[in-house]
Amino acid sequence: MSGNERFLSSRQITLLILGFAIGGGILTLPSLAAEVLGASGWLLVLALGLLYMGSAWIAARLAAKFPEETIIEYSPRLLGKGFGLLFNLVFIVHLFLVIPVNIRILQELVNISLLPGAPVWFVSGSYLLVLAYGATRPVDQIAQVNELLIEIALLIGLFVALTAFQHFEPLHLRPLLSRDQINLDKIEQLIGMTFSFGSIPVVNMVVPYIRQPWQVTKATLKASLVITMVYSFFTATTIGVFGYKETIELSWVALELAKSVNAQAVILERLDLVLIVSWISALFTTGLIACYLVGAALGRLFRVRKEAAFIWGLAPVAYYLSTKLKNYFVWSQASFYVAVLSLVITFLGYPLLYLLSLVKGKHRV
Amino acid sequence: MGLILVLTLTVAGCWEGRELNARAFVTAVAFDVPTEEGADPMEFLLSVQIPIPAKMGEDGEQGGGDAPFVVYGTTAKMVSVGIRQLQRQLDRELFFGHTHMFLINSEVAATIGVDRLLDHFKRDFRVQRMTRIAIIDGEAREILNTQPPISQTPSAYIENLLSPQSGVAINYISDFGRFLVEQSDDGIDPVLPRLQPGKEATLTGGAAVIKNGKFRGWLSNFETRGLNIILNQGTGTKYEVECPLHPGESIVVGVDAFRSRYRWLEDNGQTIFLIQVRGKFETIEFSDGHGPLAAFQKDLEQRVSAVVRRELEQTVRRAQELGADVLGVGRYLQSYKPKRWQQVKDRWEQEFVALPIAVEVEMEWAMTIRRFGG
Amino acid sequence: MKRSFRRPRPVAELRKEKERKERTPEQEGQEQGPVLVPDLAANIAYLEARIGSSNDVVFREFVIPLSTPVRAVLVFVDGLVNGNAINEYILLALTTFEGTDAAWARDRRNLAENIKDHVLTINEVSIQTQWTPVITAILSGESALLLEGEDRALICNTRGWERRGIEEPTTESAVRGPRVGFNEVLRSNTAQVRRWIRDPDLRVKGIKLGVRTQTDVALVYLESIANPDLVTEVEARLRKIDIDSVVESAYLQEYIEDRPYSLFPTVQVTERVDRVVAALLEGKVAVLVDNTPFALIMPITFWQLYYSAEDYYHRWPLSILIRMIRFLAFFFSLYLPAIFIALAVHNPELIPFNLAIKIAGTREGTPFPVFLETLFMEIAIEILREASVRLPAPFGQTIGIVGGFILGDTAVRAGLISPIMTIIVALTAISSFTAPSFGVAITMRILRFPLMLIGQIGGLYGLSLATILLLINMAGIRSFGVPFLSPVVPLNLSDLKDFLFVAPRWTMIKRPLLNEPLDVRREGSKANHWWEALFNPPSRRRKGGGQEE
Repeated sequence: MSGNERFLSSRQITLLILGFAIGGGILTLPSLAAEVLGASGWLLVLALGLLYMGSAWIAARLAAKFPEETIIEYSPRLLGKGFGLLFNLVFIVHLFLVIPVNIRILQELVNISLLPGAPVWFVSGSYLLVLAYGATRPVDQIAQVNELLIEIALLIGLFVALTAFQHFEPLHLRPLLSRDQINLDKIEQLIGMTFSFGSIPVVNMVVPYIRQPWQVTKATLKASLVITMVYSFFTATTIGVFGYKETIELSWVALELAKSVNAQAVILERLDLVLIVSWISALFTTGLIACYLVGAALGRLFRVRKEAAFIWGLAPVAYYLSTKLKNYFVWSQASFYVAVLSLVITFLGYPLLYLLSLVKGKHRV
Repeated sequence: MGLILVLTLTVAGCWEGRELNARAFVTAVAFDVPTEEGADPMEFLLSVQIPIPAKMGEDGEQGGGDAPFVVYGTTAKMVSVGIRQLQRQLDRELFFGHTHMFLINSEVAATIGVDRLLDHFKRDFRVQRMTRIAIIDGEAREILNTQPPISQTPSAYIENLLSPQSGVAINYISDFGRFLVEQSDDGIDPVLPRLQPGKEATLTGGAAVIKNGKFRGWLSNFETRGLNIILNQGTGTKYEVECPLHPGESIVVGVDAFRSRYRWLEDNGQTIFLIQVRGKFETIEFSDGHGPLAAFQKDLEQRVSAVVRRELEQTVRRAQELGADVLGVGRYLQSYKPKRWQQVKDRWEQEFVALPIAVEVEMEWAMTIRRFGG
Repeated sequence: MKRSFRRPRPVAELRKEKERKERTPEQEGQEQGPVLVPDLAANIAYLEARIGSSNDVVFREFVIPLSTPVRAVLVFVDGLVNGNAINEYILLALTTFEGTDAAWARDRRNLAENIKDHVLTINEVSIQTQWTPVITAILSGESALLLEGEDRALICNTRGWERRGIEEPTTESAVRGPRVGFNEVLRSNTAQVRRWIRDPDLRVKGIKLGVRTQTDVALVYLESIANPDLVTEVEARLRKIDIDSVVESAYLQEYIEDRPYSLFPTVQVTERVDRVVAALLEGKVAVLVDNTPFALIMPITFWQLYYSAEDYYHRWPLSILIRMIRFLAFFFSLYLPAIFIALAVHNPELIPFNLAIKIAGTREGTPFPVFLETLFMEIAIEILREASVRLPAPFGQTIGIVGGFILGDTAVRAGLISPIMTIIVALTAISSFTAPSFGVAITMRILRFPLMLIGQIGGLYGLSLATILLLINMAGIRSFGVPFLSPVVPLNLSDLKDFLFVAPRWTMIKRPLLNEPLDVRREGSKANHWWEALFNPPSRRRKGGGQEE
């Protein structure tokens, strides 16, 4: 049985991109957006989303040009050996760094609500084990799990956001772009926001498994659009409910949103824990896909078929790094660095590769 | 099997997990002025109400006359410290996941501040944003000790008094989350409902105005009703007006479906803030022999409008007296006239007090009529 | 796209297979077993040596009155044969036929053929020269006619043994639907399927499995619907089985399952004929095994384990309700005790206040922690359940009363357990009874215990992680190439009509695409899409599709 069997539908690609993007980032995104742009924070999210859609288009075109290979294989050909290797290393490191941040966010969420006082070795450890076990599965299995989990998480998230509308104040979203609320100098927050968007690498890594490689552009754009819509809607809801000042003061805005919802009709007394429980699966898809991508990328880089060995080998490193991210400030700092790397790849790497592929493609003809 | 048992016994009660019976559910928290002489002005009396599960579970067969709850209290400067002191006399862990109410005595609210008192609970993830807060005109602890007439626990009783379902328009509906939002928003001062402890029962109605996190003053029952109407959270209520045909006789009308909107009118440097209210009413009771008549339709509408307008004007006047923008005028300005807001925001309290605010009310007799004649 | 059957095959196995293929032609010549000899006495001696020492094997000697009388022996197993058939159509025919002087009667070289062609009035006769098939035939109820001077045996089908009548299946009862199940006789079972589907494309392929039992196994499918890849795969897996005995279809099930170590069955087991028929019409393959009423259906998905045959016999709104309730019950039977433990120990704030205080009140003074209490009660229920299955039916009720009353009521009164616990455990147990398939109910019972432990240690976090793990595991299972969780993942909108809800019959214009049937469209529907059918119910159509008799 050949390794490159094409069994992913374009819908699954869309959901893989969604699953990688939507995770811990969205929980803090409205806070960051409000800090930069105040009441109009959702506009910033929308603008960022559109910006990323452009880069997603480039990445998808690039992927569609090499339907048999991943970015690891064609980047050295386009960039030259040395630069290609450098690019690949940056690419892998940035994917890998997502994992400890992801684990840390989970640890924090669990400790804040579900299991106060549960030790790191238990929560992060068990999570990482399941993560690594899942990532060593074949890609179609990962796609299926992701499909199910991300849909459930999004449905529950949407439900929470809609029920929170009972507290929605349209006043809170005005005025549009008031000058005294804009703090464009908060670069750190601005870049931190992009942490939630960097999901495009998925498409360049899984394209050899897609059933119809020519549909990849459409699937990627669809995913970016959904991400943009979900983020903007969610940010708008949050700011509308809390007002931008309160939004800035809250750490896990999404959870506070769920806490403020009165849902007496539901058997359970509160929705916030239900949101957390389902959000664990959204976090999990991010971690799972990141793990898988790291494994697959390393496997392709060294031309070895044993991705599982890489994943299990790197798991302790991820665990160690996650324990280093001891609190909110530290991990948001770390997510800032990940976001910087991601920015470099998305807005420098992809366009460059795409241009080169156009040029070299012409030469070949 | 043996393995499972061993595992359980070693890991049981893992992390901070507790059996249900090892927790003391706190249903309500009250803050009062300390009773001891010579207490630090920044100290307060923290009381918690804990239901006794064994007594709550019964149908009153064996319960006897004892109350199904206990109230513990301690004096402290910080809430967390107070909780720690309370914990010393309890074999069960105080658990705030089911806290339904914070009751704060108005004096403590004025000296220490609501914001400061609730800081601990703001950061406790288990406390819900739906938790009710009330400012108590009297001793808050007394309310915790009152055995309610119908409901089983005082907390359920009080919670219903503070909820929209109690059906009177004179209580202000707010909760922890809303308080926090209004607290952080510019250009609006939060209002919290008032409770008055009595010998027989607790009375709801009226509201407390909070300015900069501290208690500023009361709104009376009718001022609160006016505020509810202005803020578009009016539930149906009743007004008494004089019969247009027979002076001295009265007609009671039920009013509902209020819509209020703000407008900022600027006319050659002259600014007026206008509150426009529309609503519907129906006739409920007549003191003289006749029923609804088509003849006095217009007249009655004007009279009802006038009565409502007088009440709203009183509310506005009171708010300006207290110097607290409970109407959210500043927030409106910030959202819709951001430039104007830039000019006034630093001295908004003075601006608000001096702001000419006009009220326009238009009531329609647009609800059902069930019976003509007397 | 070719179907991918993900079944790991070690290199060694592949190599062996290759060798076997290369060897087969020459081997066929060598692998001649013992053959009959043209000496009746020697043949009988051989047979007696092989099977004759059992006293149920009958050797009936007689003489065929030809011009030169021929001695003959009829060998059969008493009890497996139909006595009348032997008496009337073999013995009577052979001893009193006309034309003993006919031309053929003198042709001694083709005696066996001639007797078969001219004398025997029995419906199914074959000629064998080797001992192995002869012996197998005798042991499966056929009669072997051995003739003097003939090295060939005539095998006559005289099968006819005592059998259970066709009864209502006890393991899968239904309110509405046919009251027939399979019985233990393969032929009767295949006949029942035939009676249902009068389609010339219905194929019944026979395979003999079990070196010693030589059990008949029938592979049943509709040739024009079932995907040929699927059929060959099933057949290949069946043929690969090298097993001593096949006592029940479970023996085969273990051999052909994709994931024999998984907790989830990947083959459906049923004793309802209508279920098998419906499966065949959806392009699946059924395996019927002699001596058991339980047929195997493949491929299946996880959700189908929770479908009951009855779902399709009720009007569709009722079916929707039933299925929703069944999935809810599935959730309860798996998670209820675990969630209760997690909430009570770690997150009581999730339980509504009044309920929490009630639970705390009833638990006041009970000696065990929640987890142990639940564990004890669950174990007690499991014991009760097992006992009531083992006991003869009349005692079943006693167990119910003793178990329910003593364990439940008295324990609560004595303050040993809390009343809420009995409610939860009872609800869990009752929920697990709604599973239409016994196999998956057991899976849920097994999984419940580790989940309870996880609920105690990890709370809701542990449970959600365990669920994710379970999903990863389930997503990896394929039943004969069909993803176990489909049609939910990977999503298949067309198949989703028959999932949580059952769409009206006329809108299900396509067979389930998962099985990749050859003939996708169900006959009789004119619509191209389901929504066209939805807005055009059958009552509005002008022309019926029924055929005139």
